Amino acid sequence: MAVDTETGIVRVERVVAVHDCGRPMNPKLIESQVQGGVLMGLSYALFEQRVLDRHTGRMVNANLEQYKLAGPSETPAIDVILLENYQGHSATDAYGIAEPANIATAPAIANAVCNAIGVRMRSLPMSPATVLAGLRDASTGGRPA
Amino acid sequence: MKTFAWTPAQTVGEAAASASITVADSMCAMRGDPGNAMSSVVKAGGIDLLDLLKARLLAPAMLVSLTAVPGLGRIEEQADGGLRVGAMVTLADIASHALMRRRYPALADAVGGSASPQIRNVATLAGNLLQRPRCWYFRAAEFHCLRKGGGHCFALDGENAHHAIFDNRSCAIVHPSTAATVLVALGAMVELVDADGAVRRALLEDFFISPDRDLQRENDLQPHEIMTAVVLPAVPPGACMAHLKLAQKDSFDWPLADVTAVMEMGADGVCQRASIVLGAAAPVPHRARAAEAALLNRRITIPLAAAAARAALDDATPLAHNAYKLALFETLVRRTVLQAASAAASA
Repeated sequence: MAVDTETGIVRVERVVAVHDCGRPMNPKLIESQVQGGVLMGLSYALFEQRVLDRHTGRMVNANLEQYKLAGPSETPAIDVILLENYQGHSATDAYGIAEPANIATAPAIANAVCNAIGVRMRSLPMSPATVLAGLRDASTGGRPA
Repeated sequence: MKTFAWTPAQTVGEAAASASITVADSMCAMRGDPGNAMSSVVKAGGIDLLDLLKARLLAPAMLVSLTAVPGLGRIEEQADGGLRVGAMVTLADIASHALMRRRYPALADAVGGSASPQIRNVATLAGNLLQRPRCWYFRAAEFHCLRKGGGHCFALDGENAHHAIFDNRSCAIVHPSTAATVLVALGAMVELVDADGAVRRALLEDFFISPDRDLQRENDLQPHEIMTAVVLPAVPPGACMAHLKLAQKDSFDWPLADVTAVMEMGADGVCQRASIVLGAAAPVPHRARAAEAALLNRRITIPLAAAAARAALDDATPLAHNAYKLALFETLVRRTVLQAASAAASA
């Protein structure tokens, strides 16, 4: 992962997604599901934002031009590792793997940003404006954004 | 979307005769004349036009297509070494044109990195220069803003994170064309033809209109007038150029900031002429004259480029939510000047 400290632009280069999902019934399908979840988490971390006009409450970016989602250039290398962990809780020992792949990604990226620049980001998305504000507050001794 | 008629014009004169109203005028007329029955507007690639139709911001009676008009899709070398780029040349054509890449790399880079491959294959240079702004209030039919003939700029006291940091006292749009940032820096001319075939040429920089001159249009295109070409002046010896942009995403995103630097360097490495233009900064491409003056008659060094970048933002007037753009532009002006200078050094 890379943070441009002059512009606040965050680029995710590689995500390692390790999931305990019991007995993989269809490993290819699980890997694909996890990759999709990682991309959703990446967009949640860096791009997705409903911008509501503060006077009317109308969403002003309700289109796929202004509402930002990760595209091909934002897609990192994704390593999916499936832990086969048998608990004997069901006849098949298979667990669901839907949202878990999404949920862990944004906090992992926020931790990586903190690890890179020493600033704890407290809100999503981590846009250039919020990352620059976090860096400025940290350098002036104020509370992080 | 309202039903409309479709006319493929065969000549520029025929297109100009049919084009009874500009898109800007038609959008302002729409409220008083919802059917807008007499209006016919020009369609080139249709990228911006179709967006406006789908958002119900424009409802012309007729679209005049330029696709069949011969001769508008060529890039031609001029006797003086400049290039004449036809109005219907696509952004993808410009980005992949060998002579363009060699002589005007900043323009090829800028258009090659804009929008998405699908859009670049269809979007034309003239359509790109004439597209309406992307301000989210302007693009929403519910907000009857100044630029659409209304009485209020909703961005000034609303959501203005992507809006202008210069010349933003009345309407705070940023000009949407990245190509324009480069073309203004290069001193490009536009060529316009009316229904009688009379040709008008204007410096692109003068063709754009700032809100203090007219709030309801971004350029001086007239009814019954077709933009036929953009003419790039020859690149003088010792000239170097670069274009860089910053966007939240690399794929399919509007720039938060973009900068073009065109400089002429003497044999002694001293900058003899500089043109620094900021895009996504103001309602029209913004010449940073203080930055240009800071570079003049000096050797380009990292501290000088940084000083020029600070000078570029001296007269900025950021709004409540876009002050972060100052840091973006200060970084980007410095990087662009240094990149252009390093291109000159390695030439």
